[in-house]
Amino acid sequence: MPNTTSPQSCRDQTGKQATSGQQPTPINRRAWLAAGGTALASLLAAPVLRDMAAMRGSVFIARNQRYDGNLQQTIQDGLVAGGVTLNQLRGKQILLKPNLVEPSRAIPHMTTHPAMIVAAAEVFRRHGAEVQVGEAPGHLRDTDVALQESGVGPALQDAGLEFADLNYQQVVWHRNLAGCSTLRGFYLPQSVQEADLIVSMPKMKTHHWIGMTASMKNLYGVLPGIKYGWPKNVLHHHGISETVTDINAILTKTITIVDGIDCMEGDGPIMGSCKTMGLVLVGTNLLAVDGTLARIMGFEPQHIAYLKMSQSAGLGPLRQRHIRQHGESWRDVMDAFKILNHDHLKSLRTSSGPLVS
Amino acid sequence: MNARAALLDRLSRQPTFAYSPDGVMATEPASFAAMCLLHGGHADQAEIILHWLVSIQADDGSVGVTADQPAPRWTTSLACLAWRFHARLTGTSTFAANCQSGIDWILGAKGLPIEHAPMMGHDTRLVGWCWAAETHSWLEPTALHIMALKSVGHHDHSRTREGIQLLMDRQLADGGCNYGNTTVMGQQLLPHVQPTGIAMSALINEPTDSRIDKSLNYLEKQILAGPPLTSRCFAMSGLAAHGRWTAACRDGLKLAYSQVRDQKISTYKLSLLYLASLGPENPLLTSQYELG
Repeated sequence: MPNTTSPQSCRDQTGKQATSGQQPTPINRRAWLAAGGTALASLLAAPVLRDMAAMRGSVFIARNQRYDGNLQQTIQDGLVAGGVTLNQLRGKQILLKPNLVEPSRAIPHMTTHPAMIVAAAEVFRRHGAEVQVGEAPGHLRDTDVALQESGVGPALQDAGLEFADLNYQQVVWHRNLAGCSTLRGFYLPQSVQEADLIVSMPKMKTHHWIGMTASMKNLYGVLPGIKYGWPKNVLHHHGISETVTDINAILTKTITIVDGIDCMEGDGPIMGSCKTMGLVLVGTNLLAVDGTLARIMGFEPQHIAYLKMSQSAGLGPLRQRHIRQHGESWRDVMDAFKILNHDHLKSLRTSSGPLVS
Repeated sequence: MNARAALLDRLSRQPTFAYSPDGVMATEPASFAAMCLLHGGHADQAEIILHWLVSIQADDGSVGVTADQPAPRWTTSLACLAWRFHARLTGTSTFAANCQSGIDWILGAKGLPIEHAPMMGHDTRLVGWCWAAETHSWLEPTALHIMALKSVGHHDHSRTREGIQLLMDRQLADGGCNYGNTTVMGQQLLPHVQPTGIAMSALINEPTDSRIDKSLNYLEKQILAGPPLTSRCFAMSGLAAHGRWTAACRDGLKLAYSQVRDQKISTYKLSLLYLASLGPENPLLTSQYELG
């Protein structure tokens, strides 16, 4: 059973462990730059960088989206609204990271839809970037099964896109900057190490242990199974919220494009039922996007432990007033997701909402 | 040259044994390749690989996943299987000390039990083997370590027996195995071919049980559906372990041969296909009972 306890402490930037109950020292701008943020900075417009420094962010929300619609236009609009300077993409290596945790043809709403991945790839390729799709499926050692069952394999082949199996690549060790878990560091695969930009492409889903999973939790899937296992039980034993925060703290070159069209509610992230929302969200700050998704799904963001911890660690804004909205307002698309009837999940709600057993 | 010989020929010309065509040498693909080369009469080449495994063996007997990653150590099971297979075929004891040291490490390694886990469907107190140190016991590493223990005659060892109990406990009610859970919060999880095939391979010669039958039925159905190569090979191994090397397996094999003929594929997959093509004579299976 994963460790889902409430956050107690994180380490500060000097490596000292904060005492229980203290707020973690935020990742400061110097540490962010040292960790590779300069590469991302070159892709972002000046106002976005000022926002980041002021711990603010923006989120683009598009509604009435379909997998057979013009997703390329939506994604491009979202990137532009988020301040990504598209003319700086030429020659950059972009790693798209979908969620292919345990694909099943019978449950297509579990994993990122192939149309979303190909559309995002086309936008980046159109602007001269080199695109690779990579994933380390969390529950399957045979990655070919994940590609076949999700439909992503044939779609990538048709689009002439390369896939990187992150489970078995060579790894590079990175020191744990945020120190929310007791892990000293994390092993990252070569493709992640070499990417100029990692695009987290999650599915919008409930999660039966931690409430919800979106762009930040999706980055569990860049850690290689060959080091962390199937499932990545090392992370579970060190706390899901703690390790989600830690991983996001070392992955500084990230943006997100969320598949919120056919989503999962109830017993997510694997066995839940389909909830059609028709949404695509884009943002350059993953915490701001996930906080917004939480509100749309009927959760109180401050009650989701990894969001609260990431905010305390300085990974971005969570308060509504610090997140600028582009496109639709989250209030106009809010539609509470069903959750399992368990106390640890009900306590995450903003108010009472639908439950399933 | 027949299809199996062609696989062996391709394997024998490889400079490295990895999970992907351009990957680094890794213990699991290397161990499987060594067994193939030994079986195919290329003992000299197999011994180069077996000595490489020796070169990366730690003082505690464990063999890590790659040369530069000494942990996790679940691949110790595969190195031991390869060393033991060499002893069987050649009648020599070149790697006996390495194998014994690996087995000693296996007997001391344990997954973490969980005393109270009311939301989980499996018996979390059973101790098998984990993927990475200080984590829970999971299905595949437990099955692989059981195979290694059986290969040296530890069929009745308490660790082997508890491991078998764990594998049986993790069978899904409708057949097949998940990566290691059965139900979570009352919901049955999805079966998958690879872990089911590996678990069935380790359950060779265990007493008949309806849970095993259900999982074999699941594998037979999946073979017909045409899973990708790696999963298909483990499914064939699991079926062959229980006398179900059927026409569907042979058809699956032919299809696999045709799919890999002109493809650049990893030595990992080449080796798995070679081993699966041996049906009931797959060394992963025969190693477990001929010395028992």
